Amino acid sequence: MFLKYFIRKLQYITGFRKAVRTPEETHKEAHWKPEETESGTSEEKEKEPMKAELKDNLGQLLDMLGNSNDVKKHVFRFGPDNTLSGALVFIDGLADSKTITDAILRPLITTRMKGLASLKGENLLDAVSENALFSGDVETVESLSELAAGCLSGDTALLLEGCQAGLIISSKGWEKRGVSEPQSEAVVRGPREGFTENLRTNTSMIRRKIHHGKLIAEQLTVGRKTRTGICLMYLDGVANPDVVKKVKYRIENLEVDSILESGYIEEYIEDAPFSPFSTIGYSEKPDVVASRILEGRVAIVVDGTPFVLTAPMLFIESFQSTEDYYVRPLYASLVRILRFIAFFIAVFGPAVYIALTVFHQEMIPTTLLFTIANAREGTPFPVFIETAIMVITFEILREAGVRLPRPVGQAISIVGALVMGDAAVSAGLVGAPVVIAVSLTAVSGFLVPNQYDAASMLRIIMMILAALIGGYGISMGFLGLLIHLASLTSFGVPYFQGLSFSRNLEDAVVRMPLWTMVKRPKGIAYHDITRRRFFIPPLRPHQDEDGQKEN
Amino acid sequence: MKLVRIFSAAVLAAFMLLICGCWDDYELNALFIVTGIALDSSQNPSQMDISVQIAKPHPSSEGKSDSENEPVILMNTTAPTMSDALSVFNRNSNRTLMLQHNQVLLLGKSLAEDNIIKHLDLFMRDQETRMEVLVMVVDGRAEDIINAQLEQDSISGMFLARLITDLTTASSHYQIRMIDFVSRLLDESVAPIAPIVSLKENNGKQEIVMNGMAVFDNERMIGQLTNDEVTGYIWAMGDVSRGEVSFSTEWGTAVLNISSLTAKREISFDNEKVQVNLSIKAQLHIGQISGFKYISMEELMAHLQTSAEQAIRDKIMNSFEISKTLNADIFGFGRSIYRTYPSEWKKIREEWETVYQNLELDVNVDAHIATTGQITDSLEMEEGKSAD
Amino acid sequence: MQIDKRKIPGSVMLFSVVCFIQASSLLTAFLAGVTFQDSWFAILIGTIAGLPMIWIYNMLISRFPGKNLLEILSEVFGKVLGKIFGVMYIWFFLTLTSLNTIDMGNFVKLTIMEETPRLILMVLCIVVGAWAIRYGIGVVSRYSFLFSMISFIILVIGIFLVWNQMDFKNFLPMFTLPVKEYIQGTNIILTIPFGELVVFLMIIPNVNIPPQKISKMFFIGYLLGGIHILVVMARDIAVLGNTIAMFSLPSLVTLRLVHLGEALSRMEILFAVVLIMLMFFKITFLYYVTVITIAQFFNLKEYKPLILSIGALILSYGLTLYVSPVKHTLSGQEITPIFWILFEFLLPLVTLVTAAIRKRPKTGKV
Repeated sequence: MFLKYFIRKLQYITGFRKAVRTPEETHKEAHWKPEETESGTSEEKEKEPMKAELKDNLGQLLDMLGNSNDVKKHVFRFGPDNTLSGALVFIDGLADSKTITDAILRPLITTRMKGLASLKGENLLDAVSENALFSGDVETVESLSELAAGCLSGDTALLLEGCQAGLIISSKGWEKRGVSEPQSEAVVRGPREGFTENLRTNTSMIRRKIHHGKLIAEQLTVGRKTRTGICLMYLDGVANPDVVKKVKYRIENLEVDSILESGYIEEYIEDAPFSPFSTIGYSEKPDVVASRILEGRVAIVVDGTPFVLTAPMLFIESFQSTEDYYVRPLYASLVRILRFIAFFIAVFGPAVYIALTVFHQEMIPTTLLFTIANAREGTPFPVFIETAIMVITFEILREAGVRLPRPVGQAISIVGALVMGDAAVSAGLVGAPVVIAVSLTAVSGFLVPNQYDAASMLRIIMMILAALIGGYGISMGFLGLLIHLASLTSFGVPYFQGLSFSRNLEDAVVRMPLWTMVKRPKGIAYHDITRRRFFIPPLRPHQDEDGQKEN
Repeated sequence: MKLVRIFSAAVLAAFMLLICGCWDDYELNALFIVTGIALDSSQNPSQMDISVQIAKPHPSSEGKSDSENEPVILMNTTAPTMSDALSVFNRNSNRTLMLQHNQVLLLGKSLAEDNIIKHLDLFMRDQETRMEVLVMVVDGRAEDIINAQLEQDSISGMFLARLITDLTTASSHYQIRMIDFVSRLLDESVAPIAPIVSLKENNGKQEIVMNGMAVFDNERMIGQLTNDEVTGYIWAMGDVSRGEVSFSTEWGTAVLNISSLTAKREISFDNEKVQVNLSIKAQLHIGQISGFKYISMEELMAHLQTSAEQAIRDKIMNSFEISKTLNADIFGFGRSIYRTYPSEWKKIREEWETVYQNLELDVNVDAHIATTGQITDSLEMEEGKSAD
Repeated sequence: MQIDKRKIPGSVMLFSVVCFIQASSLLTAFLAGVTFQDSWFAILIGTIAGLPMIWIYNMLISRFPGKNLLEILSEVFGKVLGKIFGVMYIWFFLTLTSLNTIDMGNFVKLTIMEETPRLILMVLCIVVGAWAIRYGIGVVSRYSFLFSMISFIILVIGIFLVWNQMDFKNFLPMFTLPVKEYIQGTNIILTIPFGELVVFLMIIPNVNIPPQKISKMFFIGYLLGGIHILVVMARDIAVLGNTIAMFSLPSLVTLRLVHLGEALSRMEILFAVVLIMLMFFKITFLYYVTVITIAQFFNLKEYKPLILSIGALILSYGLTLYVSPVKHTLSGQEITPIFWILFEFLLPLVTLVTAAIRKRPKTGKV
């Protein structure tokens, strides 16, 4: 079993088998192994037109919905003299009963439209949807599978006697989380609202940030079983149309069963699946996503998760936080430089410590060397094992801290701090400098939260290189890392500019004041490059419009 | 086929990294950190007594270390060269000796007078022993310094390094590192020098004091300077930022502190005789005066100035005379001649020794007293003033 | 028809030239043993004397826009002779790469890791370089700006750190050595750092700016690199004085002597960082040029299968070149500079003259 998975994985690597296929391949695959797809019977059923008899339609529809207990049907009569009959099908819990009552049943049953009884078939349906119903979101569908899909999304399906089509009326109303502060991205200054799990809420939050008609929202549905709704949002005219096309193509051609979270989409469509660095960004806050859309990126909103993806993503973005732009530029620049230093420490910290104390003792000042040597005296393990133990312990603690239930939290933190740190040093298991080095490393990893997983993996690789070949190994690892970064592209845009002469330097290492960032980032924005007038300085007091008063 | 190739490449890469074997890794608890090396002459004339001082690490988890424990380990042996001694040491100890942090190289006086230069090759060539090792000569046996237990610092090697660092703040010419020594050796006219330290007993406690400088020629030590003469040498070289000029005249004694002293050389030729004009500019301020009754401040200042100039000049001339006796150009006049008049140097380099004997040194001191401190008149000068 | 069609911007090429020359600032031991305290003067003269050489390259570039060295050779000299010269240049590039790899291995082994076999160090460098080459010229030269900026900054920091140990009297006496030494020194400087710029003729088609601008970039990069070497040499002479000829790595010793308090001591890590970065860049670049040249010579469509094989060739060639390091230094001081003049100066000059005589390229552009 494992071997088969391994071989298939290798096939994917070598291009023998593709995850994202062209339409012909999909077609070929689907028809080559008929028993693997969703069963040909349902396909045939989809092709079958609806009958005119309400009983048949209703029976088939309930069949499709699996005859579960929460599927409710309601047969009713309406029209003058109650001659016409219809049926409502909805799923309890997904559909809002108040909407059903107010928008569908009440107007239908109490309608006094004249001439309703004489209408038949399509005309009846049109008349009902245009005149009788009180809802603003009514759709006519011609196949039972679409009706079923609509029911499963929370809408109500309306079947009428004698019509070979049905209506889907929007009545979504389920329990959902309200807009609250996101827990993974906390800011000191800036808006505190975060996305929720509802697709429509999320798109509306983005729309509230960008009140522009060119903000396009394209809806796609992915996933055979989950039928997750995905919305692509971008600014037409600013975003690169190639990127938009690429993103759309990749999402549309996904042959997957389920999309539960945006992370699935990220894995399926990203450029470099085997790189530790993610080439698609995500965020939980609407102002972050809005600022990225304004720079020309495409936002992918996935139903069921508050994390919205943005493509393409550059390496520099992990170091930029929106708070940088709401705070003063000088301080923001300092914090950004600090982030770079922290990322460097997070990746190379333990490795540098190992290399210095094991291979290159001559590079440490003499008195510091005495301190470290004294600390090393009683400890049994070689430095690499010590560092590895501490790093793994920290990862365990961190993971436990995420998963543990609230009441136990305090106890675990005390245990972690005391036991792991102090007692280990006193018992002579690890040396104090190792604990300090590893804890500094661990904490600095959190300054760049987007790349924390990359930093953790790279840290271990660097440690191994350092333990094997010392400083030279770290140098080669660093150079290899640079090369890997240079070779990554994110939807056609180079991932890492390598700090070369490019227009984006004003926002890379330091954050220049807003009035210097005149153009949008090259490579991401397509048209409409200028975003503000250059040099909008603050007006001095004596330049104020009203009066020539001098302060 | 491609799968097999990728797989085998990955396996080979993994192997390649794993068989690295870490040739260079030395765990800290498998190393001895050497902080001082002492070379002495031994009974056997073709061999040397070599001692090394190793800083002993004490496990910090055992709590504070008690001062009974010696913080240093001493190892000594007799061997013809330093490399032989190193191999003996490595054979006899359970850890490898690490010379990278060696602070000081001590040469016993008897060995220095014998023939030392040839033994220094290892220290220049090997990567481990660095060029900033301090070179010193010990009045007595070098291993006494290594064995000394000082009150000020538990490790005498570190003590000496810090002593020299402190002296360097006074003038950078106190510090003779291996590279300075070698630089002087390479130059055929300049004589290498090294500080002399000696061990003194003081109320039962041991102290290391600096006791002048040793002068070498191309092979061995040929003489030494006392502390006074060393001061003269330092002043002649210039670049001094701390020092004292003390003198006593018929009116009183004074000690003036030097805040800066610069020296400039001008070389002129006077038919086969070389004349060096050393102009010294000194900034002084009054440290301590006593006596000088019945003098006003302006007269005192002028008097102090001329006396200071005279004192500086005397000291420098004194050192110069001593160097002439030793026939060693410690001041680097030869090098200065080579730099400014290379063609003339070519003529006289063969007979540099005789030329040096006939060298005329003309010292012009320009002293300037900047401040007088918190008080202006001395106590004796003040005495009785208010009664007037 | 070159194989790698990716393009790099002009500024990247400029800084690649700078990085190339900066990497040779670590090789100044060759020069310091010949012209002791006047080495800075030899560098200055060498920089000025190298201008005609750069001028020749620029003329070749503007005369044959969008063509690299092999194409120029075959066009000017005809098929047979062009191919012969091409083979000579292949050998030249291969030797350059091997020499640089050996230098890197020697330096690292001497200074940082003393007991690791040279082979391991070199293999690691070549493997990482091979991985970089797979992605083409863009990745290979992507970090030129970063590396050259870092080494400039470390140069400035180094000067500040040794400021109090610099003695400007160490430059005296000036110009007292016999003229032969100066000529030899100038020759060394011309061929070893500056002459290797001939490899840039192979990647000219990949730079997407017009030829006049390429010439300007070449020139500016050359000057910046020359200034860097000059400043490094001057700093080393000022600090080390007459001992500079003793050491095989003067810059290392200079940085070792830094002692501003106990924390700012033992700064040779700066030297090691710069060394590894710059030498890696140079080796990867030369490796890439070698691979491209060989692939183009044999009219191959793809160069990727060649990479690791040529890497192995470079390693084995380098390890067997010189019997002992003494011979290596001796050759570096006396034999190699004269030999390289053939490839770096004479052959391009002959090419240019022949092109003018035979009125190539055939489009009649002069």
